[in-house]
Amino acid sequence: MNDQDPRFEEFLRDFHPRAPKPLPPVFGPRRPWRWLAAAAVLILGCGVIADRLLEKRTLRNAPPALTARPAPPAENPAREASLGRLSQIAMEDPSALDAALDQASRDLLPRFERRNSTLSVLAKE
Amino acid sequence: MDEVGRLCGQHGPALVLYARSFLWDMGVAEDVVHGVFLKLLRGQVAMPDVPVAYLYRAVRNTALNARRDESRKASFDERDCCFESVTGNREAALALESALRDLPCEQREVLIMRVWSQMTLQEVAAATGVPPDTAASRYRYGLAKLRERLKPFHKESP
Repeated sequence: MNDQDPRFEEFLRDFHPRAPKPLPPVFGPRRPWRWLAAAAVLILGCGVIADRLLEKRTLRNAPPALTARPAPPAENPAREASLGRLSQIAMEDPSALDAALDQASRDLLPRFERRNSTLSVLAKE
Repeated sequence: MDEVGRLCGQHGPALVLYARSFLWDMGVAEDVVHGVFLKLLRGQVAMPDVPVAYLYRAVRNTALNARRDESRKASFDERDCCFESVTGNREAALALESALRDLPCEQREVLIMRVWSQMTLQEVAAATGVPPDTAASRYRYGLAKLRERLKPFHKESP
């Protein structure tokens, strides 16, 4: 080699070629399991959240019959004063018939003992 | 990823210069080199055993393909000089680029690897697939031609 070569090489190195464009931060397919795991966790999380929301909505929109027990039917006074029942009482215990009739009349007929009942008002007039 | 970044930092500028020696357009030369590194980065190409040899070969092939598309452009664009001179001597930078372009391809390749990729002649020989003596003689001939062309800009000591 020529003795001048190292000096000429240094002269050449004073000229800098332009650098290429910077490389982007790319994650290649060498570790695809990371992306798959992240996607699986995301899907699972979305599934759990959607499930919870759906459950809450179902409870909120449910008809009252499903959540509250129906109230027991009120006793029908007419039933107590039915002819059949009174007949049965008369046959089994005639002494109790008067009491049963009194009770039935109290339940079925309008009461006028109360202070402002229609009958008491009319009676005053 | 780190290896690709390191290769880009060490050989990127020399590869742009190499691509530019086949192409008229500086932007296309930069794109060619960028594309070759991106393929490595995205794993589209497995990291070769001798990465530098692969890089130079890939850049040359891609640049030759790109040259077909830019055949309309017939002259060298002086505004697009590939070199930046430390001394700011733009005329010398243009003369160097022009002289490099006129070298035979095998001499130019060896010169770029040795001077701007900082490779030893043994590494250049391994990368180009020739015996070390052949690489050394190509380098010597190429250097002599450059020295002749750049005489007006380089004052040699007696």
